[in-house]
Amino acid sequence: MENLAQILLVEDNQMDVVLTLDAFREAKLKNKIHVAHNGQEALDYLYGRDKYANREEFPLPALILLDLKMPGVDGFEVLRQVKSTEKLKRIPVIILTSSREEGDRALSYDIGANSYLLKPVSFDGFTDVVRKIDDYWFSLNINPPDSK
Amino acid sequence: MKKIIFIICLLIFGFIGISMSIRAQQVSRDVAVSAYIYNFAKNIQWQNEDSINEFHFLIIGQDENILQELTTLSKTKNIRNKPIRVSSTLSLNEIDKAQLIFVTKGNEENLLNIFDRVEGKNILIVSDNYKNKKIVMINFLDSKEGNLLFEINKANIINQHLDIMQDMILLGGTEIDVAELYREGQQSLRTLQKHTEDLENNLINLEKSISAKIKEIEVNKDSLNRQTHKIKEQQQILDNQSHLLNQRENELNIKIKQIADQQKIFDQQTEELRELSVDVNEGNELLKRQKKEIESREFYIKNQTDKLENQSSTIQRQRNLMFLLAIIILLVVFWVITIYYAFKNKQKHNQELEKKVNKRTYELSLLNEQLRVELEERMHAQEEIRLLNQTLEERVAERTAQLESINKELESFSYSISHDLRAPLRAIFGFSQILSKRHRESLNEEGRQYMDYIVQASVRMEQLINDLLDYSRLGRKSIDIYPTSVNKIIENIYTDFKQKLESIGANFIVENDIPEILGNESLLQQIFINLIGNAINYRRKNIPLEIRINYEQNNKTVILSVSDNGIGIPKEYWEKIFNIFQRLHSEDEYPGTGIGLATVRKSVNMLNGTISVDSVVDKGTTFYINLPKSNI
Repeated sequence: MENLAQILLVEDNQMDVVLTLDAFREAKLKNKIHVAHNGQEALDYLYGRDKYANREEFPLPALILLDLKMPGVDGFEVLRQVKSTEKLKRIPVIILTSSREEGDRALSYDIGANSYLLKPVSFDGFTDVVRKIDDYWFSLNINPPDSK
Repeated sequence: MKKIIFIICLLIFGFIGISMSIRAQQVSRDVAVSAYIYNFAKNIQWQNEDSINEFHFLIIGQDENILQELTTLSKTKNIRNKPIRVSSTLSLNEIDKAQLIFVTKGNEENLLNIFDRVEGKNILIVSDNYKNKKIVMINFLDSKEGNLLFEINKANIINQHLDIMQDMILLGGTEIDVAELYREGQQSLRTLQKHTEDLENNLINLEKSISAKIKEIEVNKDSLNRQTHKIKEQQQILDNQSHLLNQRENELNIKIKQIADQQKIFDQQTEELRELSVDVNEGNELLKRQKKEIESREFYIKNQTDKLENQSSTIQRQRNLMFLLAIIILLVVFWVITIYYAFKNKQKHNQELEKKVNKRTYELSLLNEQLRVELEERMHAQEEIRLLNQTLEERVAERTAQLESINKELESFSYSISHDLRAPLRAIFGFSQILSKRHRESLNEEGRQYMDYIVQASVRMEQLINDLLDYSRLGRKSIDIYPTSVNKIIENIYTDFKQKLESIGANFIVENDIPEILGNESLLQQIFINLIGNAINYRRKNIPLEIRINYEQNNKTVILSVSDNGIGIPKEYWEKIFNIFQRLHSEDEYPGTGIGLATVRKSVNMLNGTISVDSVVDKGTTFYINLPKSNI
C-alpha cells in the first residue's frame, strides 16, 4: 500500500476540486494531493519551474488526474507535453472529464492517456470512482520504474 | 379552526344586512374569502409600501360577489393607514401595478401566466383551489366538511420580496413545503423548454417551405412534360411535312424525267431533220451537177442552134423540163425553212419548262428553310426548360444543405447545453449529498426534508440531461442499417424490464415470428425501451397492465405495433406527443421527461421509417412503426 504516493490533480473548476478532495476524504485515502488550477500551473509544477523548483517540497507525482476542458493550456496540451518529455512520460495520466464525445476520447488515447474516466454526477459516484482509482492504480497495477 | 369560524361569524354578522337576497351558503364563503384576503394583506409587508398611496386589490375573473364584498370591505378598512382600492379585470395587461392579485376559481389556467408575469415583482397572488402547488403563494381550499381552509407557499412569497408578519400564523392555514431551489430549477427548465420549442418550430417551418418548393418543382415538371409532349406532336407534324416534301420531290423528279424523255424525242427528231437536210444538200449537189450538165448541154444546144436551127422543138421541150425543176427546188427550200422554225419553237418550249422546274425547286428550299428555323426554335425552348429544371434542382439541393446545417447546429447546441449543465448539477448534487450525509443530524426536520428535495430534483435533472444528450446524439453521426431481428432485440431489453413488469403483475406478449427488418440494433433498442417504459409509466392503476407487440406486413414493409391498456392519449395530442418536451401530465401524476417519444420518432426516421399512434382514453394506446423489410 503506497498510501504516500503523490497525486497531481489538474482541475480548473473549484467546486469539482472540492468534490474530488472530499471524495478522497470520504474514501479514507491519505494520498497527498497537489492541485493545479490550470494547465500552465500543472506544467510549471511538473517541470519544477519557478516556485516549484524544490523537488523535496514538490515531488513528481505518481499519478496525474487531468481535466480536459480548461481555459488557456488545456488538458490535451498538458498530456501532449508530459508524454513527449523523457522524464515525465512514464507517469500514468488518467483523464477525468464530463465529456463523452468520441473526438475527445480518440484524441486522448492517441496522445497517450493511460485511462479515461467520466466525472460522476453524484457525490457517491465520485467517492466510488476515487476508491477504484486507488484500488487499481496503487494496489493492483504495477507502476513503471522511475525514469530519471 | 376556531379562529376561522370566529371570523366567519363576525363577518356574517357585519354583512347580514346586504346579503339577504343571496343564498346563505354562497354569502358566507364569499364573505369569508374577502375577509381572509383583507387579513392576508394586513399580515404581509410589501417592500415598496412606503412609496405607494393606496393598496390595489385586483380580482382576475368575473366574480361579482367577491368584487362587491371586497369593495364594501375596502370602504370601511385600511391597511397601515393607507386606503384600499378594489377592481376586477379579465385581461392580464396591467396586473403588475397591483399589490395583491386574487385569481378566482374559473381562472386557474391563467395562474401560470400571471405567475410568470409578476414573478419577483413584489406582488402577492391569492388563488382559489388551484391544484399545482408549485406556483401558488396563498391558495384557498375547501375541505370535505365544507370548511374554508388555505395553504401558504412560503418560498414563493419570499421570492416576491414580501415579508410575512408574525400574526399571519394566527390566521391558521397550512404551509406547502416546496424548496425555492426546486422551483428555480423548474423555472430554468421551462425557459430551456421554450427555447427548444422555438427552435423546433423554426425547423418545422423550414421543412414546410421545402415541401412547398418540392411541390412547385413537381408542377414545373408537369408543365415541362406537357411542353415536351407538344414538341413531340409538332415534331410529328414536321415529319409529316418532310414526308410530303419528299413525295413532291419525287413527283418533280418524275416530271423532270418526262421532260428528259421529251428532250430525247426532240433530239431524235433533230437528228432526223439533220439527216433530211444532208439529203437536201445531196439533192442540191445533184442539182448543181445537173445545172452544169445543163450548161454544157446549153452550150451544146447553142452550138446545135447555131448549127441546127431545125431542132428548135426539142429545145422547147428541154426548156419546159428546166421550168419544172425550178419549181421543185423552190418547194424544197420552203420545206427546209418550215422545219427550221419548228425547231426554234421546240427550243423555246424547253426553256420555259426548265424555268418552271427551277421555280418549284426554289419554293421547296424556302419551305425547307422555314421548317429548319422552326425546329431550331423548338430545340432552343427545350434547352431553356432543361436549364430551368436544373436551376430548380440546384435550389432544392441548396435548401436541403442549409436545413441540414441548421439541424446540425441545433443538435450541437443542445449537446453543448446539456453538457455545460452537468458541471453546476454536479456541484448541486454532490454538495447536497455531502450535506445530507455528514450534516443530517445538525439540520431540523424541515432542513432534512429540503435536503432530500434537492437530491431528488438533482436525480431528475440528471435524467433530463441524459435524455437530452441521447436525443441530440441521434443524428450527430451516421448509422449503419442492416437486416435486424426485432424478436432478438426485444429479448435483450426484456431483462431490463423483467423485474418491474413482474412486480406490477403485468402481462407481456410478443408475437414470436416478426420478419427481419432493415434496422440498427442500438436505435431499435432505444425505440422499444422508450415505448415499453411509457406503457409502464402510463398504466391504469386499477387493472393489470398488458403490453402486446405484434406486426403486419406487405411486400416492402413491416408494421410493428406496441399496444397497452393504459390511460390513453386524447386525440388532439396524437401529433404533439412526438415533439420534444411535450408532456400531458404533471411530474407528480406520472414521471417522465418529455423527451422519450421525440427520441423514438427521431430514431424511427433515421431508419427510414414512420411512426403513428392510435389511442382511446381509458382504454389504451397503440404505436405503429412502419419499417422497410429486409429482402433476405
